[in-house]
Amino acid sequence: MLVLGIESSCDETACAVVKDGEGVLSNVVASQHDVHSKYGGVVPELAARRHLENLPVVVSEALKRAGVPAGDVDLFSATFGPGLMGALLVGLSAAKGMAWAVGRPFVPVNHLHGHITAARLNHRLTYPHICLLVSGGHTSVYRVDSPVSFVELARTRDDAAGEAFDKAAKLMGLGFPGGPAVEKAALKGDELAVKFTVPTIREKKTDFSFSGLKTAARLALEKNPRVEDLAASFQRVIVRTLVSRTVSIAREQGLKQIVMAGGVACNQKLRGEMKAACDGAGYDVVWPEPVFCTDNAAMIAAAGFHKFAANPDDPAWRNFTRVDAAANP
Amino acid sequence: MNRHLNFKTNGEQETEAVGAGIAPLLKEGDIVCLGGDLGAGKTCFVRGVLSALQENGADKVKSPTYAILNIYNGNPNVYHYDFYRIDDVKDVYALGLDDYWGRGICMVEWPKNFCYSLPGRKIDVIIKRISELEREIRISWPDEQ
Repeated sequence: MLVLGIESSCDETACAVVKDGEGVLSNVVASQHDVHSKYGGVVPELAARRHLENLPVVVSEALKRAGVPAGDVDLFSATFGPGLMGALLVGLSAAKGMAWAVGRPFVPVNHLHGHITAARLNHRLTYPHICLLVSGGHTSVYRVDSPVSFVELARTRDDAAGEAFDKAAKLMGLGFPGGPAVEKAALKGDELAVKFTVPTIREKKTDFSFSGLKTAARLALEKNPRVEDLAASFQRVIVRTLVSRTVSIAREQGLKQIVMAGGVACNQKLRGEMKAACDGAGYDVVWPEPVFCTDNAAMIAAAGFHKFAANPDDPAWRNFTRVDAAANP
Repeated sequence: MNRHLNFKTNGEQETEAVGAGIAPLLKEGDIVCLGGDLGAGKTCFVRGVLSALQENGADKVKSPTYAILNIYNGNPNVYHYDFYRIDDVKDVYALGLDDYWGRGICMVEWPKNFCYSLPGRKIDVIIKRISELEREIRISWPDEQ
């Protein structure tokens, strides 16, 4: 089954064609340089948000790279939320319109469900498993019971981990995006040089809270440490918090596979520490390829496929004209 | 003419308490512009306002830096913006962020100049860091004739 997916919930406009929920035939993201070059140069970050301008280019490029005419697509899917209404509506309306035009079903996909499904594009997953979704906008741990059902077990009370990296990078003058910048600087730093702590939430010990780290990083900077040492120490506390809480949730739930998702899952330190902790505990850990960690449409097409496959006769997939975007589903 | 209120707080809980304290003064259509450096306590202040305005309101508040807008539904609805990454009012319209102005209480972190040309009463909250825990919070709003 050929599925076309569209993602436009925040910064990225993306389109992908995926076969049977796992074979990625094309995966196009607007911020990638090769799409921008069609406009005659790199489009600035803010212009890249203009989904309406990017969408037609991204969709036709995805179909072309997949070698699939629009009429051969069996199922359309798009992110319906969470995200910005104006941004969501562009991708959602386009996918519904295409499905209507060629008389195919349409499945709306929750953006977070897309991320949780991303690792399935390269890996065999066992259900139920634990998923750590960690990105600029989200930091949560889920129990994933099947390809279509998941329960949030822990979440951040304030800032997401990726946001903490970005804000710390800004304080240290390391540039944007902050995650890769901090990671790079940290390679030359001593991670034990600066002491950071992350608070435990009294009522729910597995929840995260990263907002206090901004003030802690500012205070540490006043003592003029080496930026590399500060970056390494900062990265260490975030990574250790993510790893220890995720592993302790897996233990509580009695589950032996941990799946990572989201942009921060690209961080090598996080991958290494999570792998070490899981090896020690006898758990299996997997993560998606980097292009499927950050926002992309292949994960949306895959999640759309699984939703459809779980219930192919659901009349909702045919009567989709009233499906609306939802900022907070 | 503007009216002013000044507070000194010591710790996040007290900053939240100031937010909760001024919440009853807010009405639908207001735009609260929250100024202050990274880590000053802007999100914390919003959490205080929500705790007073909505049931379990404090639990809903998360940083909107990435999402740009978090919506907290209740009576009234609260729209929590972060314009850290938005410099041009055209992007506000391109993203449909103007849909909610005037329909609930808008609270804006990293407000930009264009916020002041939007319709609605503007309330400024400036949070200044004095030490690790101490903050000076200055709230100003237009005098109603």
